[in-house]
Amino acid sequence: MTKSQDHSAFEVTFYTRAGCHLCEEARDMLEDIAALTTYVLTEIDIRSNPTIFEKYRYRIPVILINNETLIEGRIEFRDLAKAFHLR
Amino acid sequence: MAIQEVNNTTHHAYSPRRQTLDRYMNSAGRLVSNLLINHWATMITYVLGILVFAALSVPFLSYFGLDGISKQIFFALHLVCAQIPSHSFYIFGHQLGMCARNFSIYASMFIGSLIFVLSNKRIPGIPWWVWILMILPLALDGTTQMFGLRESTWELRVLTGTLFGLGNVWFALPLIQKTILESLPAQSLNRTASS
Repeated sequence: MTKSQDHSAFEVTFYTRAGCHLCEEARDMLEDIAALTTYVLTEIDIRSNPTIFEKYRYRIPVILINNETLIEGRIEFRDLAKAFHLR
Repeated sequence: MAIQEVNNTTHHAYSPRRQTLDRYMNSAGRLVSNLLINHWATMITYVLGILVFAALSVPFLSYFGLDGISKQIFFALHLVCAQIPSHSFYIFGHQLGMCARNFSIYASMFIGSLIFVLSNKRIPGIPWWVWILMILPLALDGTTQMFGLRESTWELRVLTGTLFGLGNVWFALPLIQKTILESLPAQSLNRTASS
């Protein structure tokens, strides 16, 4: 969680799995975003739920922002920044 | 007198050390050119083999807990592939280092070039129009997907990628070999004429 006192914080759900290289890269990008804006992060390991696993196993990393914007796969920083209204 | 001075200067320019260096460079150049002329197809096969092996090694390394190496190989392979997860194959639940289409392209190119090398570079090439026919399916499948007109399937990615890869090596490698064989006597003739 970052800067949780801010009421306008983005709600971010990050679907990931251990050993996923693209997920590690996406996590680094989220950390970079944290330095620029405020968001509340919920990280979900897709193996914790069979339904989520089936839905996202061939799509992770998946980042859902405010239950509206979905970014997945090979995530570019500029796309992520745009989703956070930073560009 | 002037000629003598020029000759003296030339004599000084080519010292024994310089002459040894020239001889060394000439023999090194000949060695490299012979190596390229005789083993160019083997080198291409090795490069393609390394790419295919690297892409395959990523999920195996991750499975055996060698994430550090796996990660480095995976990100190095991003130089040749977009690595979109939904377009990729998975082994032990881990993504291959290349998407299905690129893996098919490189694997078929590797197998094709390996067969070409094992045949002693004697496989005849295909005409240009067959090559176009073999690369056309990938162009159609790739561009229609890229512009969002439709979504491809893994079967189509593999099929079009394999046709594309085989078409490329089957067209290009025999053509390169033919060009080398045709240009070698010409080079020899030039060398004879200049000397």
